[in-house]
Amino acid sequence: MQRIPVWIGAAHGISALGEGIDGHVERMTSGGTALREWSVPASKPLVAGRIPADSLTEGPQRVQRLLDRCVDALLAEAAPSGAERWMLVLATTKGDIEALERGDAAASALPLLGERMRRRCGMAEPPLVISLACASGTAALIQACSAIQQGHCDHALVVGIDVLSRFVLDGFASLYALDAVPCRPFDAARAGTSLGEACAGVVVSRDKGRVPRLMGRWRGGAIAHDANHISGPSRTGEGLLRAVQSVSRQAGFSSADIHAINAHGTGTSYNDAMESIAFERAGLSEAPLSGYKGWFGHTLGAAGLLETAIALKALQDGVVIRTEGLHETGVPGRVNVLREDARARGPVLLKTSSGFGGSNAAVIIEAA
Amino acid sequence: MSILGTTSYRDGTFRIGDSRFDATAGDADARLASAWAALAQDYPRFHRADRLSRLVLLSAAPFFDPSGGPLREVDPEHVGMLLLSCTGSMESDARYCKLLRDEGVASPALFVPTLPSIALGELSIRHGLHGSGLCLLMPAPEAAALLPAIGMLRQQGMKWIVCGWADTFADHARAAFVAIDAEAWSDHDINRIQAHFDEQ
Repeated sequence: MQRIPVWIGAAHGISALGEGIDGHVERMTSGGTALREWSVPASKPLVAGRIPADSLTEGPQRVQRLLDRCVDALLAEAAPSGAERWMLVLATTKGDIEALERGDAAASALPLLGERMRRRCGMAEPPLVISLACASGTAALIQACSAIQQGHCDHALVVGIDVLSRFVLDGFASLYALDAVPCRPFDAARAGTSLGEACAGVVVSRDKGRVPRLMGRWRGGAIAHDANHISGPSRTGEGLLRAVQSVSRQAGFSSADIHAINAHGTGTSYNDAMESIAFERAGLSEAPLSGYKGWFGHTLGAAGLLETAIALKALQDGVVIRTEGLHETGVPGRVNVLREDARARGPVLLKTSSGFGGSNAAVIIEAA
Repeated sequence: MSILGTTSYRDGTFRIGDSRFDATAGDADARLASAWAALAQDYPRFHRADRLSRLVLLSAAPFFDPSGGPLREVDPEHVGMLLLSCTGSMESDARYCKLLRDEGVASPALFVPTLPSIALGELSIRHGLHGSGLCLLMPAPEAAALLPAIGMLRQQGMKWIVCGWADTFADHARAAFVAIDAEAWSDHDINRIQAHFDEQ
């Protein structure tokens, strides 16, 4: 079936590394990690990727103000008009969970963050608010591009957001999932992830000329479930393999057509092992692979969008950025994890995300 | 017709198509347990799951009933899942947050279900479903919001979809689910789903 082309661009992102996708790529190709030791009230000191303090990201309602700032940047470039058919999509795992920590459970409801985004965008229809654990951001991109291909809209603004909170930090700590030093995805000595916070978004459209700073062409997306364990990934990479196979079929690409993989790469023993097995089973052992969480941490619902945008921008610049923190690859599946930046072999990116509940998402995008 | 079956649950009253079971005694957890017991399912994991997941497991179970459920013999590779909710994981969030506040320690068992999509994970494990799925958060059950998601699942090759609204917080627990034949789907069928939601 001939599918409507969908184009991606105008990406914006704010993380511990700074603001702007171009700035992220610059810092990642010239500097080091933004993960730092951070003391959370009532918690043990830990390593995390905190957005540098300023007037917008400190104090109450920081998640709302962070969302506003990212959305404003996207709107300034995309300039949607009332005559066009836009869809809003918001990805998050915990939204404003700090409201619950302050004792206001009702204010932590995820649809409220969607309503905030709707008002900020001045649109009539509220966003689709998507929560699929750590695959939320990638799933939101899949939903938006699919909606355009089905004719539900012509353009979409897709945003992912999550912030650091004691709620989430203590939860990951209770699972023994946090490394004491900046996380080391796919490394033999990896001992857990590092959490981060971010807001990132892109504009997607069926109209190539309508996308500022064009970054890539959508080739497909798929979601699959492990049906195996609620908090641990499949030992055989079953769900991720199915997602990769499904998106490859949609794109009409073989493993040889994939020029770079941006993996989920949390730095936990089980996740990185699972991914390596899935990629080897998918015939992707030779494809240059990297994970970005060693730079700014695991940004949960924002991760898929932020990492996709950075990987696409890097491919446009002809680079596949290394895996920060990697010294010696130590995973059971045969994969080509980059310890140094590499010249891109071509424009085709495979981006994957996986999350609790056994959710896996995979997309293929061709850098423009 | 693409709607193969319906279930609903409202604070103790569980309906499967036209049949009805009432469990009005006890709190929200006790009523859910009574409704589950009426299904005679041999699945102890149900009782260890969080409340949102239990609501979803209960609502979907009749669709997979080996003695007549419309999805009893389908290929689990091609079954997608869609969950709509307003409260999402708020019941689990509150329980976990109270533990953090009162005892200063986090519990993995209480932390993991603080993601609404964990309910999809529980459903996938229960019935071996490897397909696509999404959890959408919205203020009220608006079936029209499902249209892009149903289309996405069909685009990814899903032939059947378990789809519904589930909402629970404090003593409130409501759900309305449908089993869909995705190959027979017409966008007009969304009106039947909305009508089912409106009956709750």
